[in-house]
Amino acid sequence: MASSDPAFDLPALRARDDAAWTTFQQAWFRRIYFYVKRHVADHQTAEDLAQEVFLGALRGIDGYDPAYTPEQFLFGIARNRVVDHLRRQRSARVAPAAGGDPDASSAWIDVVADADATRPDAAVVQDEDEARRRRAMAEILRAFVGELWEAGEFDRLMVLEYLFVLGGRNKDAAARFGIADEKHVAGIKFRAIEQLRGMARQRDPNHSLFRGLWGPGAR
Amino acid sequence: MRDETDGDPKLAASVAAVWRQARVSCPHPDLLSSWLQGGVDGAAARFLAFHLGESDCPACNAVVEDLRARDDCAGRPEVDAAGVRALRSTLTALRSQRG
Repeated sequence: MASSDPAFDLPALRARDDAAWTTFQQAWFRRIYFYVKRHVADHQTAEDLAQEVFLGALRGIDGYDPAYTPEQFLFGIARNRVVDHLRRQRSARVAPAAGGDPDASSAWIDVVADADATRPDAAVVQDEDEARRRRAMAEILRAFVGELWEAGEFDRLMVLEYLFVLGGRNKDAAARFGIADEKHVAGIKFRAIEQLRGMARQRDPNHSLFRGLWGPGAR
Repeated sequence: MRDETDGDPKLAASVAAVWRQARVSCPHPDLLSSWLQGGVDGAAARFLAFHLGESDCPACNAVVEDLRARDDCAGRPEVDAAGVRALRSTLTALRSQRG
């Protein structure tokens, strides 16, 4: 996915051009700051971490994978910096976030740890097959969700995000979204998985990405 | 995607991680801005409230906090000042890399 973001001139950024970095950082600093600030106790720590994100971007720009958007690149680095910070906090037995539940922050570390292993700036060093599979999965999910957006099926999208991202159970989804029968939720999930499976097959003509789709007994 | 995500915890975890990391359901910032101004209703508004609240999307919440701060009379000058300092730091690192 080539970026069309005017604030992201990749050749100029890689050439360490002052103007390109100024434009890039000015376009994104506030969002990165507020992202970080959600997880740390004070302004100064958020400022320090946000600053580290852009220094990390500078170090990682040569390995930037254009399959990712600039915001995925930056938010990936930001997530990593926050996780590192919270781990240091946890090991030092210091409360992680003002007004927040310390256990919630710890849980958040555990939740993002897996995702963090695939952050864009680490893509260059991870297993290429896994990177390709994740990239394909992102394209599939994006296309799938894009169809729901275009069709205005926001209630269905909400149920699926609840099931797939939050790991909610069918029974809980039925109660949460006022669906009379949990079998109906199971149907929504089943149809979504069937559609995703079909899209995955289309993107895997060589049977090399999602091998489980092609093996004996696969539906 | 060889089976239902229920039957494969590792796959379910990777779908969740990719969904979040690739921001597949994240609305465009312009839509979040409209929502903040009350310009979105119905199912779309319900989804945005869910995505920001219960789903607690960190990136979209950062966008919303930024939009809200920009709308404040004060405009959070300390964030702008931090941005200036951070940019100075980046430019210093750039010059150091260029030698």
